[in-house]
Formats: sequence, structure tokens, C-alpha cells
Amino acid sequence: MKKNKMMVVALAMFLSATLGLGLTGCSNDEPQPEIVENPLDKNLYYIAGVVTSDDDKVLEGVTVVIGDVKATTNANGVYQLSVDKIGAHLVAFAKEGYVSISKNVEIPSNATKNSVVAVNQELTSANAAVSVHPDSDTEIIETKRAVSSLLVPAGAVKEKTDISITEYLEGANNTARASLSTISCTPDGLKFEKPIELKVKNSMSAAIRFADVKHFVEKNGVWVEEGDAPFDAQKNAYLIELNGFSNHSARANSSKKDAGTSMVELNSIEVDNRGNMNAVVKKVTIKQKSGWEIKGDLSSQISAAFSGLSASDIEGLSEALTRSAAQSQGAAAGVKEVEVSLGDAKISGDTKMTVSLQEKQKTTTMSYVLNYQGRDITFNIDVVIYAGVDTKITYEYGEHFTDHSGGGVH
Amino acid sequence: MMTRRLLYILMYVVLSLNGLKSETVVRQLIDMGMENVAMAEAGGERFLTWEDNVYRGTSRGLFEVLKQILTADGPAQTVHLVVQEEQIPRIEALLYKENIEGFQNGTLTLEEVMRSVTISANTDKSMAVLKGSKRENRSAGKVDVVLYPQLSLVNAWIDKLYGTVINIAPAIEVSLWKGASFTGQVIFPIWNNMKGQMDYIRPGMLVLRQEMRLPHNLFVELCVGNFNANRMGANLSLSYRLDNDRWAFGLNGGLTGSSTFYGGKWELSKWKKISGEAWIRFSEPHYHLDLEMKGIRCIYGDMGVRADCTRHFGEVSVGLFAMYTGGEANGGFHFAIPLPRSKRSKRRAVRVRLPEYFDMEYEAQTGNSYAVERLGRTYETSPEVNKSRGYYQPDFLKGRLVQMASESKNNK
Repeated sequence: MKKNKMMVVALAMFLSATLGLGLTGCSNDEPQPEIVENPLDKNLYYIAGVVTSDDDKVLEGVTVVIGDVKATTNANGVYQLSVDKIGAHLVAFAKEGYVSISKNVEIPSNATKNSVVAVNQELTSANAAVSVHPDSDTEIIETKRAVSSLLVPAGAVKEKTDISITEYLEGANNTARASLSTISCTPDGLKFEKPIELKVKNSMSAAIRFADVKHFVEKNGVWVEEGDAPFDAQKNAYLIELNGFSNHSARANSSKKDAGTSMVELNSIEVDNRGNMNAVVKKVTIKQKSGWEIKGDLSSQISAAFSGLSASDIEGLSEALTRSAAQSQGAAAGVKEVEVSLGDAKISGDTKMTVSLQEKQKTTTMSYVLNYQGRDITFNIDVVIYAGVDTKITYEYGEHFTDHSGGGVH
Repeated sequence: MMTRRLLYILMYVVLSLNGLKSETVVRQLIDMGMENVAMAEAGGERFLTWEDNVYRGTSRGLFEVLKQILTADGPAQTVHLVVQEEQIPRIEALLYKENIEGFQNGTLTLEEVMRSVTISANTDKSMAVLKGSKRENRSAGKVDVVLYPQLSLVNAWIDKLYGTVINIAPAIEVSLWKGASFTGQVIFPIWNNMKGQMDYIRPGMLVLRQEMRLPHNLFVELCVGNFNANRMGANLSLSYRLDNDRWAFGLNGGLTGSSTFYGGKWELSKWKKISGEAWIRFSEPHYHLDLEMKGIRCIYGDMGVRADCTRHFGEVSVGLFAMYTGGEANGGFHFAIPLPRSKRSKRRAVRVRLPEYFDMEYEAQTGNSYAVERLGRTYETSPEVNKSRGYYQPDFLKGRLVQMASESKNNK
């Protein structure tokens, strides 16, 4: 009897608790997954990379601009910009005291949403100007590499003029020919009373040189062939006659060929909000490699292709080819890891978002025609470029969302 | 004087023997494991009632009790047998004196006797006789720990063939006073390929149930507590069946709120959703076919109709259904199959057992707008609701008795 009474009391309490909960409850509404729009579903593409200086240090405070979109490199020299269209975009890099660079960057037509194109750039600090007088010859040597120099004869200028010449890395451009040396000559647009000589030294001995070098001038962002840059065996240099100042380049007889792209799977990013009714916000950041490198040991490849070449010529040619490859990429060889923020992902209730990442490694074969022992020989180098990351966003759903209606057993 | 004295002695002996026999019958039923056993006599007929929590199904226990009565010693009497469940009378089986005598003297086979038994849903008169009789071996306070397996397979996602959930959900089922019981269940996840509530150990059904039987085959049941399908609330059902139970009618209404376990937190909402149904059932006696039609208002307000056709094959039931609710059609099939054991141990204080039946229902529609708009959603107030459990339809029971008699003859 006592047991029964206890049972009755316990059950009465249960009943009261249940009724109390039911009539007061904890929430007014029944739980439903919160649906939100994910900003990562928009058509956005990223251009990101590292800006370095000619002394191989990261550059902070560089302004990077695409149209109306502007970014500034951080303390690690990293920048990122977002665009909403595929195709070519003109990217401009500028910092006071450095030679400004503008170059075309392509978002491929098959780029996925939130994919990142990696673009590193080296900015060169402008060299100090040298005063040139009308009554004397002046030789101005580009001090950073000491490869290019200007010989300004007397009478080329009407009055004392401050002239500077800075060798810089230009990056991707409209020409097939690879640059051996690109220089910025200031004041831009200066016209001379008589031609001056631009001398681009051959990094090797006269035994081997680049064949058929041409002079190119940058006009309105486009490199245009201006004439020949004939080789002077006595001076062991390519000589270019200039009548005025712009950006000038000595370009080798070369070509580029796409040798394939490999996709490397990276760790995916998952935000699993299944089983929860509230939406969540999570910052999505990816790490990508940015930069380039020459495949294999270049010196060994040169030694194998040009038998009998001296060690100093091998070294010189290796340096020249590496520099030329750097010209086509806009930055010195090397691979850096860059953190790119895709922004805040908003994931709806009872939903899982997976961001799959694939790193693109493009291989480009650069072919150069070299003159060795009187014969023209084509020499190839393979350049591996870490071109960015493709992303793919997929969703999986919990019990509240279905993809189709296929029946069920309970 | 002498003769009168002898007569008194004889009467005393006969009455004592009858009393002894009565006590023997009650004792035999208790020894079988039957609960709430009571007996009374009126007008030269015997009235016997019990609750069968030992034999699986509704017919097996009745068959065993009938066999006991047929083989009992002493003079035969017409016996009214009332089967209870949760101390509520369900059906009455009538075994005539002549048929007992016929069996005992070999003129009738067991099968013929079973054919002669009449079964009715009307128990009013018999229970009036049994009113006040002492109940032996009471079920009140006895606890069953029932191990319910739970399986759900849903084909609604392209990244998996089936969204699969396998749980074990033991429930404590306690018999209380007349018509009352308590179910307290906990769900333990075993395996699933989904993410959500199904990953957590969580409360299952926590239900306090009170059932009443009114005169003229009227049943009323009130349930309060945590139901399935993420509902918590109160549910009231009324039903009426004819004496032959070939026709039955019912109304069911509930006021519920949500009871969910997302993110591992038990969250409740206010009871605002009204749902219910009005149903009518016809039982076809020859093929043991139940045809049921109901007008429903589902949990989330969609209204429609559902038609069920179920056939009972012994302890197995298989059925088809079609439903139209909220402007969408749905349909499928359901079945219930018996789980071992056909005879369980007698109940002491606590008994661990499997449920009587394992049942499943397949529905063709689970996804797209059906899921988004939450159409066709209903809940149950007991962990074991299926077409076989508690099926007391008289024609079916009689058919089972005859079948079991035939099987026992073949097994000799």
C-alpha cells in the first residue's frame, strides 16, 4: 500500500511536470533549420600572392589595384583581391620609390567559384639618378645587376638632365619572347638630340650567347618590337640604339609552351552544422603555394646540352636563364606559402559545407635559341609554376533537407 | 432427520469440492503466469477473468486456459472467460457445458470444441458478475523492461543509399491501477550514417496512460507525456466497437509541442499543434482482412485521408495503405512479425523481455516537398503500436483457436 502511494505521488509529480512544461514550454516555436545565404556561393575569384623587393625581402604597404578594387600588402608582403568575372584583369603594383608594374592576370574560363590565382611580384627600388651634361659623355651603369648600362654621348641632351636606369622584373606580358633584361629609364618620354647606346652584357663568354636578340619598347602597356639588338663580340654585349626614354627590353629568340597542369589534392575544409538548427558563421582561410621553380638541376642540363662549355659559362648561362624565367613570372624563383581568406562562410542549420581544394601546378617549357660555337641550338627549360588553388564547395544535409523522395522504412 | 443430515453433509461435500475446484482453477491460472485472476459463479455458470502477460499475442493464452478448463476435474459448467489487458476487459469467450462434457467423453475433438466457442467484444454482463471478486496475482507494480529495436531507412539523399539509423530503446513498462500504465524509454544509438539527434542518448517515450472501458464497448484513453516523432503533449482517444467487432469507430485528438534533442540539448516548445483523426474499421471474417479508413489532421496542420488494408496471417500482419494529405499522395506497406519467445517467464518484480512484435512501415514519399512541408506527420503514444499487438477481433481469435487446436492434434 505504501509502495502504491509512493508510486501515485511520483506519477502525479511526473504528470504535473509534463503538463507544466507543455503549457509554459521553453520556446514558442518548433525548431526549424535556419536558412541563410552563403557568401561563398557567389561568383567570386581571388588573385593573391607575395610582393617582394629586389633584395629578396617581403614588401609591406604596396598598393595593388584591379579597376576599383584596391588592396595593400601586409607585413608579410601578402595581398589578395577579389573579382567577380573570369578573363583577363590588369593588376597594378605600386609603391613610392619603386618601379610600378602593371600586368595582365588571367582568371581561366574553367575557374571554379572562390578559386585563387597565385601571382607573386617583385618590385625594384628605383636607382638614384645620375646627372648628364650636354658637353660630356656619361656612362650610367644599372647598379643592381650591373648587366645593363647607358652610354650618353655629349650633345645627346641640351642641358643638365638627371637620368636613372633601373632593371626590374616585368611579369607576364603580351610577347612570346622572353626578356633578358628589362629596364625602366627615367625621365619617361625624354627625347635625345642624338642616339644613345643601351648595352646589355652577355652573362657568358663570347663562346655562347643568345641568338637573334631584339629590342622591345613598352607602349601603353604593350611591348612592341622596335628593332634588333645586335651582338657585339668585342664588347660581348647586345647593343641597342635609343632615341628616347620609356621602358626597354632586350628579348631573346624564345618561345613558351604549356606542358601540362597537374592538380594536387589539399586538405579540405569542413564545417559540419548538421544536427543543429541555428546557422553558423565560420571564417574560411586556405593556404596555398605561390611562386615558381625550374625543374631539375639547370647547371647539369646545360652541361649535358653544351659539351665543352666552361664552368663560368655554365654558371653565367644558368643565371641568365633563371633571370629570364623570373622576367616571365615577375618574381625571383622560389615558392612561398600564402594564406588567403575566402571570407565568412554562413552555413544553414542542419547542413554541412565542404570546401575541397586542389592546387594547380602548371609546367611551362621555355625554349631559347642559343648560339654556341657558331651554331644555333635550341635549349629548353621546364618551369613549374604554383598557379593557385581551385575550390569546390559541396553541401550535405541532415534529416531536414532531402535531395529526392525515394521512400523510407520506419 | 437422518436423511436430512446426510443431505446436508452431501451438499457440504459437493459445495466444498466445487469451492476446491474453483480455487484449483484460479491456482492453475496463476501457476501459468496469468495475472489479475478472479472467479465468480452465478446461475450455475462460472465466470473467470485474467490478464495474460505470459503468452505472446491475444490467442495463445486463451487457448491454454481453454485447454486447462477442458481437462479440469469435476462437473462441467458453462464458463464465461474474460480476457483483460491493463486490467481492462477486452473480450469474452463462452465455453458451453455440453461441449466440455463432449470433449471429456471423447465425442468432440479439441478442434470441434474451439469451433463451438463464441467470442464477443461485449463483457458488460460478465464483468458485472465479477465485480467485487478478489483479484489474485495482481499486475500492479510489476515492471517489464522491454528491449525495443529501432530501425529507420530513408532514401532521400544522393550522398548515401539510405539514411540509416539503428537504435536500441529499452523501456520500463509499469502496470499501475486499473487501466493505467507508465512507459519510460531511453534511446541508445547503435549505428547511423546521419548527423543530428540520432547521435545522442536521449529520452524516448515517457508516457502516463489511463484507459477506461465504459458500458457498451466504449473505450476512452488519455495519454500524457513524451511521445515519438519529436512530440510531447496529451492525447485523447475514443473508440467503439460492435459486439462482434466487425465494425469499429474511433476519434483521436492530441495537443502537442515539439520535443527535440538537437545539439545534444533537450528542447521543448509550447503545446500548440492540434492533430487528430476520425476512423472507421471493418473486419472481414473469412480472410481476416481489416479495412480501415480515416480522416486525419496531421501534426503540422495538413489534412487528408488514409486507407489501410491489413490481412492477419496468424501472428503476422501485412498491409497496404494509401494516403492523401496536404495535396500530396503517399502510400506503402506495413507488416508486423512476432519476436521470440512465444511464452515468456512469469512476472515477478522485474522482467526483461523483447517486445511481442517487430513492425515496420514503408512509405513511398519521404523527401522533397513532403519533407520540407512536413506532410503526413503523426505520432504514436506507445512504443509498440502495430496491427498485431492487442488485436482482439473475435473472428480472428476463433480462427486462431481452431488453428492451434488443429496444430496440437497434428503434433501428437
